[in-house]
Amino acid sequence: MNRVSVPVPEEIKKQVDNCPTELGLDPSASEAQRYAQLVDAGVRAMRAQVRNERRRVAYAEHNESQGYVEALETADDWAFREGGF
Amino acid sequence: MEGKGAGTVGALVLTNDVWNDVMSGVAAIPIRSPAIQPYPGAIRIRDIGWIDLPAMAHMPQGRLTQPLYKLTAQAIERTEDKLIDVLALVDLCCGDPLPPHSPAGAVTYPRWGDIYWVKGFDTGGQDKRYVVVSHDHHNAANGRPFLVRTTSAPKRNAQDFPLVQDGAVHTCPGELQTAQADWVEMTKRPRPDALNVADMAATAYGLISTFQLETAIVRNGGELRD
Repeated sequence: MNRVSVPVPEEIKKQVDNCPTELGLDPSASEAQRYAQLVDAGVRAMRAQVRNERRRVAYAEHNESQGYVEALETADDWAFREGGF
Repeated sequence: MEGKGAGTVGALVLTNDVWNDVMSGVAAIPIRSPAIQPYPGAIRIRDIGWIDLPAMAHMPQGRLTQPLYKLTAQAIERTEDKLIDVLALVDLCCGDPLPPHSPAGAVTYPRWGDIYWVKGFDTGGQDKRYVVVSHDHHNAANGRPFLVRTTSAPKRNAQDFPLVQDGAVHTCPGELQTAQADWVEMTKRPRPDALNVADMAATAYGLISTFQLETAIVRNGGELRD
């Protein structure tokens, strides 16, 4: 397989240089490791997005289901009444 | 929130953000006034009151009004930790699933893993099948078991609506709630009347997903499969 060099976008360089730990980047890691960590963070974020989209569709169907509508309509507010007791 | 008693100052919503965005109902825990004596071990929130976890309910979103407080990360973590403990999620989801320990003696309480008819939560509703997901030390001592509804309606997402009973039904972990024990029909039982450990583990994964407890599981010493 041929390796192809492409310039790193400025925005990505900035992320690696600034090393935001909330993305899982380790300030003590080498630059190459930080690029790898950034890719991992991107993959995790994409996975989370896909999972949330799948959830959204499934939840929306469940919300319309007869069983859920009935369960919610008959929900008793005992837990929230005076002290809940 | 609307319709609450004077002893309740608010509700802590625990379902995940996608659920709260899409669904008409949310899982909410009452926050009690400091004027009411908390039970031993209750999570206290300074100047506000205490979190009544064993009174968790599934309620229409329409009853919620404007946000009142933003709880500290520590208060939310303590609530998650208690929930993980009472639902035995680490034992069920990390490594080979282990059923939680039960107290010795006669079983006079709704038992972990068993399925019961529960009177409509407003008694006028149709009785529905619920599986008990709280461990038996809680069920025996507290009188407010945590329940998850089962449904035979097809569901698209088996992570958040796990398939159980050899694929015959789904559980609905996002509808986790507690009930007063006397609403649980202890004599007349549905068939089958229990889920096996694998089904309970699948339901536990669904609870972790719908209540966004992945980080909390790790904090409690667990490790989840990818």
